[in-house]
Amino acid sequence: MTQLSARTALFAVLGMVWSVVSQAGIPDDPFDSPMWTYNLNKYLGDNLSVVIDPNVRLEVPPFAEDSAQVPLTLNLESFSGTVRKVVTWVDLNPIPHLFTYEPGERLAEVIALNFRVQQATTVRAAVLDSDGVWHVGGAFVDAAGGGCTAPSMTAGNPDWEKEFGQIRSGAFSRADHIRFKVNVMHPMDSGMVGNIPVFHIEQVQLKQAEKAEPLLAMNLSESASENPMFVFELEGNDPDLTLWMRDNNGNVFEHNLGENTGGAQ
Amino acid sequence: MRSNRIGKQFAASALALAVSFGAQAVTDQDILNDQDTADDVVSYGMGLQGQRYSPIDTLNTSNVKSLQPAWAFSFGSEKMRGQESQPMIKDGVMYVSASYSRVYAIDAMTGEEIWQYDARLPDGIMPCCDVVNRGVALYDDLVVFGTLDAKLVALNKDTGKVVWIKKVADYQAGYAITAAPIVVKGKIITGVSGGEFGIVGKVEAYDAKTGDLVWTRPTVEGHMGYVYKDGKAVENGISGGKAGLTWPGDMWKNGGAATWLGGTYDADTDSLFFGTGNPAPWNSHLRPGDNLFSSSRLAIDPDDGSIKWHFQTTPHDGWDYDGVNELISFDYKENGKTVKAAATADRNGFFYVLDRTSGKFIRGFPFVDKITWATGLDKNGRPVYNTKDGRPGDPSKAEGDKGESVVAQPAFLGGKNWQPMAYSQDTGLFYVPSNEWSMDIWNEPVSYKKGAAFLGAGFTIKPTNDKFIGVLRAMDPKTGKEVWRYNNPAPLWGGVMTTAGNLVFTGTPEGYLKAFDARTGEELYKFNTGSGVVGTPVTWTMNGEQYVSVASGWGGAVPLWGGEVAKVVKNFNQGGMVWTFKLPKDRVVSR
Repeated sequence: MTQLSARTALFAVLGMVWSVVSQAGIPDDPFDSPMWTYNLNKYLGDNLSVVIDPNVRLEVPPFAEDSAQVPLTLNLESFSGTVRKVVTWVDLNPIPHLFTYEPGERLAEVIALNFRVQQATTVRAAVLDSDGVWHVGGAFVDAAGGGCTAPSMTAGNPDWEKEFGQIRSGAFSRADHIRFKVNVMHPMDSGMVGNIPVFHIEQVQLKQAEKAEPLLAMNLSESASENPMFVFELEGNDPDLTLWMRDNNGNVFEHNLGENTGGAQ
Repeated sequence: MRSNRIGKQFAASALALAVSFGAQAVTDQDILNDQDTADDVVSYGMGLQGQRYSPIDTLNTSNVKSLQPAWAFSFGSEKMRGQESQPMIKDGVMYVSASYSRVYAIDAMTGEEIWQYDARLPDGIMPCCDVVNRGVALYDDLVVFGTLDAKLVALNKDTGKVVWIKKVADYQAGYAITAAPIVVKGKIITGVSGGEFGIVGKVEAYDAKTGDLVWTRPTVEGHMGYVYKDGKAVENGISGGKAGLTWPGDMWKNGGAATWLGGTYDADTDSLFFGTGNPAPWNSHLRPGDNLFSSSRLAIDPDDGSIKWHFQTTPHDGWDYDGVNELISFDYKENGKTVKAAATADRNGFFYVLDRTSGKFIRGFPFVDKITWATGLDKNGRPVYNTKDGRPGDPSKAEGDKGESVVAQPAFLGGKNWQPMAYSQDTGLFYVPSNEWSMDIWNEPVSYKKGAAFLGAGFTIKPTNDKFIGVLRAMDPKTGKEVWRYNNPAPLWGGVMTTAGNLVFTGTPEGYLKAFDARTGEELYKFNTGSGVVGTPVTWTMNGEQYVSVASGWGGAVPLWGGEVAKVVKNFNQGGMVWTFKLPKDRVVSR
């Protein structure tokens, strides 16, 4: 409440200057999506300073063979600024937001996961730098669609609870980087399939032993795919990290990712 | 300096505004006083003693005809099954559960949804008797309820987001939770369902704020109870002392006695009163003995789960006469003395009045028209069995697999089932939603298999009258006299509420919410809600007007297990609504 009013006050003081910048602050959309300005304002706020940045690399296949499982890789290796926050969304999905990522003391330069597409759409990643400027990258995926409202594989399996929450993981060293690959069995129901309530992982964190601040904190939305496979590539070479997740039903999943746990489990 | 101070003041008042805007937290005191307060309903039973008596008299026998619908709310989706919930009201917000483990927060003034929580249930849930839920518990800023996959879920009351979730038992072994939890001394107290699957019943207490297990008490003789200290289980005595006293062999290991209807609490004696279900399997010839603590009422210490006393209504049950029905604490005067009593109307057809300080039998009498399995009760309240043709025959003594069939009355769905009765402090009467039916029942061999029905019995239910099955009865607990009755064509399956306005409310499977004169039984009001009413009504005041709410949606055990009763109920349509009524201010004329 007070934080909000402080911000409002700040805007009031800066007055005209800010509003002029913000109007000029949204460039034309290279993909010409009808949702461009709307989603920028919805997920990043008003009074924005936005630049199109080719160093925010978003990789998706040109065509989604399975609209419920479309691979996405966000690669920030050549991004030069400081990353404060990352927001990704899928322009034409019923719930466009995919994930929001806030780095801890080290950056995950590569994040990959699968998402759903409801129809052919632009996908976006916006990176907030330390100057308050959003650097936006995008990609287009063609698709037959329906990925958000088709029943999940899990929904067709009466015994899904037997595998629910099972986690397999691997850790792979790359010089001064380490890459984690994690697969968790979770239906990730979008809530848009008849008679199946929304049931999905909302929070993902990478935790370092004995440190309160997570190394990575991510919020996921309904656009994320069933039985998600996450890839995180971090600077450094940690022996021990814990992956912590919580879904909207309150189930908590924890898993040790370290190399000394023997890779894939 | 100056502007800084103004800034601080502004911040402080903004904070105060934020606090007063949201609803207040529910305290132990709020719950203990629930029966006396008019503007909220914060316990299952409208008071922990479970009397379902409201002191509000704005709405009364002379003006109830002007009761009007204020709003109706749909639970939505295609999951329209039995709606057996009792709504809760706090600070103008209604919290109500629905079939398939769903919970809703609704603006009690307008009927507009604030939030909704749908538990994602596995397909393998095993509710024996419909996918119902009977209500939520409120504590602090939490809304707590049990799910069909046997978990307790605590939601934030303002957002509906999950704060904590705890697995109470393994749904794959047949456990479920359908009852409303209660809150006593900051602890969530819950039972479990699953008596048809050879589970072991238990009562458990969880820290309401954290969800940590505090104690567990098995309700079958021979199983160890525990209290939890710093996360460690400490033994707290075997229920009944030791195994094998009232069970043969190792039958106690899957003995049933599910605590599926939850319980009540009496602050006078600091006792939880929980009922226990049938012993498993149904075939009683496999388990000669009293089979403690099946088909009983237990008085339990809320601090550590110890059993203070027990009263068994149907020892060695052979008819599925669960002893789960609510035990309601009440005081009455006799020979100038106040008697601390408690009463229950059992599945087996007898009404019991007990001394709630000791569990001693005071008196008992039939509340149904006919009982065949017993000829009466002895001076200790133990049934005198009909040894001639009361109990289904032993299949091991018959040719083939099937034992001799008998006709037993009441049927296994009971003289009264789960639907709670009410006690009026003004009339001194209990209002009992009961049913008149019998069954053919026979026994068969059976053995235990995890997650499979553990019955060893076959059965079919028949109505005993052409014109009616349900009977709402006003029973005098001092004399056993039926003061009045209302006959209903379909079986009664909804709870009852009585008020200081000399009114008795209940619902019918035909869809009506009805109100009766508490002294005479005269029907004074009815409104059709569009689907069968098997929920429990509540009442409260808001902005100086009296409101009544009830869930509507036909279902429960009758359409699944009712046998020939289907003739009466087969055309009742399913639904899923909560209906709210009020008496407009200008219709309250002085009496």
